[in-house]
Amino acid sequence: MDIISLRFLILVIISLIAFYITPLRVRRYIIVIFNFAFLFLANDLYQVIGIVLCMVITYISAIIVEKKGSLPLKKTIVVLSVVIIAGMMVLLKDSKFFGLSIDWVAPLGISYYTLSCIGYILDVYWGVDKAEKNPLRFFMFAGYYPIMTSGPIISYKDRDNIFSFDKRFEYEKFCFGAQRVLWGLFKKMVIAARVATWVDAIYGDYHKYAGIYIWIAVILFVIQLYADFSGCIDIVLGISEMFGFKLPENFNLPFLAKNLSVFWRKWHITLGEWLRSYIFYPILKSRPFQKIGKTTKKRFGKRLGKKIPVWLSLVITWFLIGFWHGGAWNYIFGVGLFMAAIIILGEMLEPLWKYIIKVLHINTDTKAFKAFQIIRTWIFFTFGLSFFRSYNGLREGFDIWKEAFSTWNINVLWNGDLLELGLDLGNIIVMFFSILVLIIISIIRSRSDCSVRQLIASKNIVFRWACYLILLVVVIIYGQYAIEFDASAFIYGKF
Amino acid sequence: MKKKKNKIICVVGFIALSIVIFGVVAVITTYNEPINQVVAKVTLSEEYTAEEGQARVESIKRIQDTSKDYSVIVVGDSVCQYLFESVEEDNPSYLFVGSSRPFTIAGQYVQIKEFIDYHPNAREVYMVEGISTWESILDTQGGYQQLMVPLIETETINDLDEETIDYAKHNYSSLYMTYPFAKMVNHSNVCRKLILNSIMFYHQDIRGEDTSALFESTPGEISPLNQHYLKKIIQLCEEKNITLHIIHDPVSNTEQSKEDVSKEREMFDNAGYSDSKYADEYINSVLYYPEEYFVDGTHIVRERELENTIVQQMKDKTRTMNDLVIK
Repeated sequence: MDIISLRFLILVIISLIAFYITPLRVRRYIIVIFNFAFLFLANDLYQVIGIVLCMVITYISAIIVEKKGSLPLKKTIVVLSVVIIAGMMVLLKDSKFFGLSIDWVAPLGISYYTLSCIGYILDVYWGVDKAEKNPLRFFMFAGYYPIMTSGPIISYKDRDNIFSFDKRFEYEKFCFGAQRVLWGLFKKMVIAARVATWVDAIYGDYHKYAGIYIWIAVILFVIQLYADFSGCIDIVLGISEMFGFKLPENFNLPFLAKNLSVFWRKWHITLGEWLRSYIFYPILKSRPFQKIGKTTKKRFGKRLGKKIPVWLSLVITWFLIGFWHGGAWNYIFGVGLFMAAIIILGEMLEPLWKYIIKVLHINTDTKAFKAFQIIRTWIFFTFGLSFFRSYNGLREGFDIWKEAFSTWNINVLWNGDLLELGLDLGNIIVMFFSILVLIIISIIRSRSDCSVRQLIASKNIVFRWACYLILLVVVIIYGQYAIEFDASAFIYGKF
Repeated sequence: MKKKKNKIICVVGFIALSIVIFGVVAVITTYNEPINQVVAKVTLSEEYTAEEGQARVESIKRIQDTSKDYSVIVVGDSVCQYLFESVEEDNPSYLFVGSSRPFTIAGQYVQIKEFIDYHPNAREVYMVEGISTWESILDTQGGYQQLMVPLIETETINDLDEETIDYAKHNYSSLYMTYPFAKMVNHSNVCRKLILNSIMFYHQDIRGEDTSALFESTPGEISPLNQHYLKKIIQLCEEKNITLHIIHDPVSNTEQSKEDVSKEREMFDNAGYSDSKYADEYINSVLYYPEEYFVDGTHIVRERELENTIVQQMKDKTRTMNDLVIK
């Protein structure tokens, strides 16, 4: 079930009504009912069984692990359950990577709930969380249906802060939530859908569309991905806000980051946090890595020797980030190993960098220097993402860059050739104007202490409602819904 | 309490205001063409023109025009629509109202019924068809805009059976099957865009149908809808003592076309027309022409001389349309 679908909208409306007309104490069970409704509406039976199996394993493992007992047994259970849960995800999602061909389609949301479940088992094992005894309560947050569509990856130890059932209907929260949903729809349907038309056309025939076209496609793909993913997250967070739940943010103005490390702390935040908590630090603290650390310190000195295990752990973590995005080398390289290489290189060259700054007397506090840092980050990220979009493999990613430098055709920007990419002039204007709106809103957000919604809410009633109405109209009129009606369906009518 | 009340008023007011604004825009764009064009430009809905729907409305209005003394009606698909255009002005007793595939045999039935009702001198009915028309159904892309909307706007929808109307309501929603909505679809680009896309969205999303095909059909058979209305056309003509001829579109001389024609024979046999004079006449009337006579394999190149030659040969082969003047 797509997040932009009538079915999903109807499910949300019905669940909201049901949620608010029932007494406070039974509300969590309303969520359980709609979690199940979503599971069955969005998945085939075998997928539902897969999800339920994952939840049952997590639920039982956490309870056993929490009980007093021998440590080796607990460890075995943790390892076994994590292997089974992660294995299910890998097999269903990325079987091709291991040369297997499994025809089953992975259940919706497998990438998100799997990580949350693994995190929960580990948290209980490490004693930072308590196992949930009530299976319905467990399924309420583990199977919370809006996050099944596109995340974010929630940490169950924060469940009491996220899911509150003791509050009555709050008008402001509800309205803010609805506005956020609308903003998400704008990003996804007005911006991402239009940008995708150009990106798909160019990537679909990159030998034909060489030179400047490729540059346009790789730059626009970053915008498309951001608008699409953050749009989905806005919808999920908005719906949750309407329920009165506060889910963690997944994006925090990533394009204003001064380096890649900071960028990845602002882009897909929940994935980054999950990997830091459950992969990066545990690896670093593991016995083999402690040993490596000792050896490298002896060999390369204290300063460098200390960093080598960190970098090794970084490489493993980034490999997994790439693999999580898709079990193929274009993902592993583009949003994994390439990013790790840049971050590690950045750290290695830091002394040299500082020396250059000192010698050239560069003032790092100027706006120009900050802009340089932002653009540099943007270039690295865009380059990595160009491989992410090369769906036909890593080779395609390199071929695309070869084509990008094969010809100099800047004139396509004004000779009308861009009109052949599937969008007419009107749609192109709407696309760029919408991107401009997105940038302006981001800038306002970065300069203000409160959210844009709060800013709008503080204005007078006419301005406020005019904003909402305009946004609604823009989404309805300019939004692109799935396969559109073929406006020129009857071509012979134009004879 | 008062604060809560104000907030509820605000939300209700917002919804009401939205509906009013949409309503005003819909009405203005439906009844004022210059404003419709401006709004179409701003809302990127310029290409959502209703040429076909409006042409069907015009054709029904022509049928209902009693100031003309028509005695013969020629209905059919888009091939028919263009083929007879050049002979129209020389034949005042003939009414040529070819339509399109999504108009289906059901739409043609309405045309024939209206013609017989409005013209007491009616003596002959011609149906000029091709395989795709027989296979056509009430589809997502064309069924609403090209069949239902013109019939609702001309208030001839009740010529169809109640079952058909109910099915259309089920397919396109009862709301869209009302006069104001039909009017909007046929005259306002932005409304047309929103309404047609919402129908598409509903079919894809709620019903989970594959609506990517431009024309949906029942390949290799006369669709149940067309079978039903063909039967009604035959009954109506026989009741009113009017001669009915079903003639084949001219087709290109290719293996595919020949295969299609033999398939059509089977289609008629399977539909219970194996001994029917109409099916025989239809299959025997087929004329093959070189591929270069067609722009897309189906539609004849738009040259008056060529069209007239084909009509003449059609006339000679079927020995019908005896008084048709071809200059």
